[in-house]
Amino acid sequence: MTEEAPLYSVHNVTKDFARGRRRSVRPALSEVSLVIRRGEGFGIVGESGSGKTTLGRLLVGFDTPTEGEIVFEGRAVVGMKRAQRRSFRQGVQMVFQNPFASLNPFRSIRDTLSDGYAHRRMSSGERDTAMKDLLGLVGLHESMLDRYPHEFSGGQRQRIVLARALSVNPSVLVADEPVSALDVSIQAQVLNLLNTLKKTLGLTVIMVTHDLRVVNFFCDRIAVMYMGRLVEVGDRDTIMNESSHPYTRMLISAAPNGDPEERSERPWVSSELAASEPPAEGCIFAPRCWLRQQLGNPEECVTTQPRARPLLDGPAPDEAHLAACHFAEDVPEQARLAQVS
Amino acid sequence: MNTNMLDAINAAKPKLRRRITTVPVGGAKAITFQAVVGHRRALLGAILTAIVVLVAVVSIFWTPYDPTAFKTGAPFSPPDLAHPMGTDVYGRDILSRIMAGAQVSLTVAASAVAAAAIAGTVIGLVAGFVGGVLDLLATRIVDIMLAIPGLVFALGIVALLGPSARSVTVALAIVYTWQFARIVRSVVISVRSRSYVEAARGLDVGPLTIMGKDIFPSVLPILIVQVTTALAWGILDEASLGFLGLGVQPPNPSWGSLLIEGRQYLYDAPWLALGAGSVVVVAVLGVNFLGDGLREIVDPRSGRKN
Repeated sequence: MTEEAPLYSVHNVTKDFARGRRRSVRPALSEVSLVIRRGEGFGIVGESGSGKTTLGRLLVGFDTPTEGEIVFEGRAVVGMKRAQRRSFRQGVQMVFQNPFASLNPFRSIRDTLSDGYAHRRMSSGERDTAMKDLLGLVGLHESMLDRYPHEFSGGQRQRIVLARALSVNPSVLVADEPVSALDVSIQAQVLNLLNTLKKTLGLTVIMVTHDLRVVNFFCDRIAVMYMGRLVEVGDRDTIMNESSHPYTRMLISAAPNGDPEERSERPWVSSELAASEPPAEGCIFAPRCWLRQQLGNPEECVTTQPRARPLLDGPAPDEAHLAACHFAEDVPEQARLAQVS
Repeated sequence: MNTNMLDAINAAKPKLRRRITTVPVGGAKAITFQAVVGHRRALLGAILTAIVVLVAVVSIFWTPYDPTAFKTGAPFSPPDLAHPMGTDVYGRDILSRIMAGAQVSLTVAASAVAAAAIAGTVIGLVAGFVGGVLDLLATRIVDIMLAIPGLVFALGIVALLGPSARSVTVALAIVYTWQFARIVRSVVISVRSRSYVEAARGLDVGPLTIMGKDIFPSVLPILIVQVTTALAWGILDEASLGFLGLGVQPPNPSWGSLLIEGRQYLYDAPWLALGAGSVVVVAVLGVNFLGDGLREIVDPRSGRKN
């Protein structure tokens, strides 16, 4: 059985924004390893400051890792030659969070979109048709080409941003909170559009978000981040329903379920992020961990940093589902206990 | 009297300094013709500036008398119909000399500011956009240059090059460059990290194109305001240097040299200094009003639409 080579593989990546020889106590990203497959919807979730945006920016190549390596289509992203660099840059496009900051207010839509064609030899007529096709693709009318960004709503701007990203025929879209700046009614439209584009163009979409509903709707696989570390990776259903990390359980239980009658007890939402400093060695989540409390504060949690590892509970270790917890196998059982008590 | 008049010129400067530092950064509104017409101070400034420029242009082709000709009338004749602004010790016509002086003053101020704006914009754009060590170096140099009193520095350069209109232009251009560099850099820094610049990078657009298409348009409105403010400075500083005898050499007139000529006879023939002095005031006021108005038009915090 041969498995297809992954689109991205991230090896032990650390990103420290501290300059010079100083090192941060806690880098923005620590020792993250994961694999992203071609054509999937990959979600990166986490709360503010978890490093999810940093990871997204590393994947696009806007920043370079301090340590570790990111491999895209078999080639390391850092140290590419010029031509490779261009094909990487254009092959991976970013959709930004704030559609009001991601379009230059001084440039018409035509001008903005033309950036993507700068390196291609085509007549102005061909380019015109291409741009009109693009606008059609994202559900805008071609008459909007000569307007300026301030004439558009947030949702329309996000469509324009998508059109600009698609102008270079990318294979990957990294969407950093693409809908969190939009009205809820518009969010669904933009997500549906992304979904359609993903299917028709065969795109790989990496969705960086704090919104579990978005991830649940959109993604095939999900990575959960906490304080710059990868906490759990797995298929959507596994993560959403049978997660094996106490943090993921907590995160999901903290999301409102939309039914006012059904009040969740949320037994394990303990303290806020800044409540206590994580131990220097050991698990970063330990101070907030309900599982650790429930297990009677085992020594291991504060002495050894858990690595993201495949779980052992099945017949064979499941390589597709990794969790960074010493007691990951106990999570489902303990969670049930916690809810009952 | 010499020092008094210098004091008077210098007294006007602190206000100018303050204006330079309050230029808004980012989120600028567009400067349109309608906006200028609708803004009372900007309109007044534009009209005054236009009149001064017109006078300078007319003087190229026509002045009532030859500005350097002696004995166009009796020496020291007060303003009358034949000589609306009187005559000086040699009987030269003051109005003609002021008109001709406008050419020199405006040319010096305008070309110094233009050169400074271009050089400063290039320095600011590159330093702000490239960042890193280059930015650090540029910022330090700009800080040092701004720490040296401008007029003293200009004096030094003129002394080095020898007194002439051209050396005054060069001196003022060098002195003004740093303010432009600093302001442009600050705007570039604020724009550089915007998503649309990153998006352009992600599309593999070249750095020069990004600077030209994505960054420079944001710099432009603030640059225009800074240019008008610097023009007012230029007229004043040219007059200051001319007053110290470092500008255009006699018998050719400039506003500064007219002031120094008039100073000797201030009690007997006050129209000599008053004529040139009030023209300087009108020109500086006009350009300043215009710059001030433009700044308000550009400032997004002002309530006006556009």
